[in-house]
Amino acid sequence: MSLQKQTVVPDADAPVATYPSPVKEFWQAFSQNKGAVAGLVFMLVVVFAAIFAPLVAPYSPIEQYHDHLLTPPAWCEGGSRAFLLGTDEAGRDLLSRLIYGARMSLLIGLSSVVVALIPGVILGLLAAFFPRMIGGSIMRLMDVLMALPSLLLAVAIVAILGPGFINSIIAIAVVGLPAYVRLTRASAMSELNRDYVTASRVCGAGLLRLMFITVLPNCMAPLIVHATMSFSSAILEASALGFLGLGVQPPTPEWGTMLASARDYIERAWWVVSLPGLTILLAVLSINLMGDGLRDALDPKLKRIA
Amino acid sequence: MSTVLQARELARYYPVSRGFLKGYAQVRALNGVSFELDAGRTLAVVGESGCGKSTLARQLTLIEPPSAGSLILDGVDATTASRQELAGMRTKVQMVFQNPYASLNPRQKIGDQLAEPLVINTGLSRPERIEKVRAMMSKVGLRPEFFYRYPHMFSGGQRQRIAIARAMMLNPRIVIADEPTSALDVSIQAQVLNLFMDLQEEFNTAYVFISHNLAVVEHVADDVLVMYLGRAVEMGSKELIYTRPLHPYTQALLSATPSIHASERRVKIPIRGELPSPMNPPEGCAFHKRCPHAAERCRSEVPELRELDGRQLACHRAEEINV
Repeated sequence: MSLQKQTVVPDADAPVATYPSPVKEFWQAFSQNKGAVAGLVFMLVVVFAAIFAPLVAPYSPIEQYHDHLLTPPAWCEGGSRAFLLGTDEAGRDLLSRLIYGARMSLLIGLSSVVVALIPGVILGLLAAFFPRMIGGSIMRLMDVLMALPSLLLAVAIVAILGPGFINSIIAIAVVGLPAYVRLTRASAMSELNRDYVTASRVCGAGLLRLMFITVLPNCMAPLIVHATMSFSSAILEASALGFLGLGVQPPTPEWGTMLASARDYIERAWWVVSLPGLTILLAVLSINLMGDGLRDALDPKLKRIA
Repeated sequence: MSTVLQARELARYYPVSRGFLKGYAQVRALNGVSFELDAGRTLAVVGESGCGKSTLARQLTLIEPPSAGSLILDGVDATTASRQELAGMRTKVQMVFQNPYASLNPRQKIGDQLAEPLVINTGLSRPERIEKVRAMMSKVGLRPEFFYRYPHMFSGGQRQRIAIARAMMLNPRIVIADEPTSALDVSIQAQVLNLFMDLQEEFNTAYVFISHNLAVVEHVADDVLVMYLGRAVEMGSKELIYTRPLHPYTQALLSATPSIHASERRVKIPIRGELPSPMNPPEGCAFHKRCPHAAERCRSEVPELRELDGRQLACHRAEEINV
């Protein structure tokens, strides 16, 4: 009898079950996804190599060894232990160039995503919250940007701003902007009609609170996926700009530029093209896996009851 | 007893596009509704779909400004209030929604959602807020460990309890409940209704209870307002309206309430046709096309709300019909 009473009546003074801190909770959910963890590990290795490139890389990335033009990787016939991944057409060590190139490529990928994401989200939210006043004009402007071929637009922007690293990031970000605006606006508009937004309004929530605390977290899933996908296209677009002489200038190592400039040798020396390509592939793959894990870890619906 | 809510000739029109280059038509969703509500009382608003019940709720909760008329909340006129006054009024009127699956933010923990009204409207510190949230959670029958859970982990009835707790956080004078039980199982409905009534007793809150379930209304209401096409057709105390409805529309509504006791069954009064379009309301009494008692006068003259037999009524022929 007394036992039954204990179980039925909730004791107000009973110690509340403890819950992990948000960081720990996030990590628990994230580590469930093995692919995401693998992606994270690979990216950490790449980032580490990029940051400590002078210590990690065996040679300088721009040093040319004229006796060793197009040496194959060490495990191939004719390869040398001195150049683990071989050398390129100018006799530069491929491994060193890939390690140094990670600096530039990751920076381009990351910063052009961030530079496109933040204004894209803000413009998209504004367009969704004020569909009559500014929504129409924002969306028409984005339509104009979308109608132009992306590379042509990027070339035009770099031509106006002048070539260089920062300007090519801006150009790539502007090209990627309309997708973020559209994605944010579409999901924000569908969320805006939900009752919980009205409930927040009835509580007196201001515009910023509604935008960034109430609505935006519910629009994150497509944004995260698109951001990780556009990371890879940013690297490739940066290489296209570099190829046209508008982006990163040689001899600065950068994965996309390495890939583009070595394509003449694809028949004679496969490694000069394949290895940078493989690096880009792995980096993009691991970022996409991380993005998937991030999206799932941030979705409370996929969490178990603690 | 003090009057907390006073609506006078409240109206809301929506512009509706008729197509390219054709201009806008006006939908008169709410067409002059007046009532008063005292603290601790419950006014039930009933009517069929599309009669303007939810539009009324949107005006009362200050989500939208009314197109005409005045709305006095706790002594302040909402239609002429400044921004600052309006912000203060937000804490006085809160809302409980129909669908508990849409009214909670899926990405926010229950504790954070319940604390949101406090964050916005009060200067309480975080521990104080948590204290208040926990107190309210135990009042509505939620276990303390629910604080860290997300909405999808709850059943419909629990979610509606959470929504009620959120509405009650600021101790509002008025709570607008827009069909709060219609999305719930019948077994849960009674629990939620009883929770509403317990909270009313404790906080002396006034309720505007919107529903099309007349059995629910009979359970909770003190007064009943029957709406038809954006207008009040009959308003009075629950006892009066349920025992002796005078408006033909109210009579038809009540006769449609099912009952399992044969003795309580009323003779069904069929109403033919559908609710006319509020874009193009009929001349005269809005109900005349479906009314079994419609006469020539009903087709030409709009009946005004008038006092009759202890209630307010909008019908030209009430005396002739109810002899």
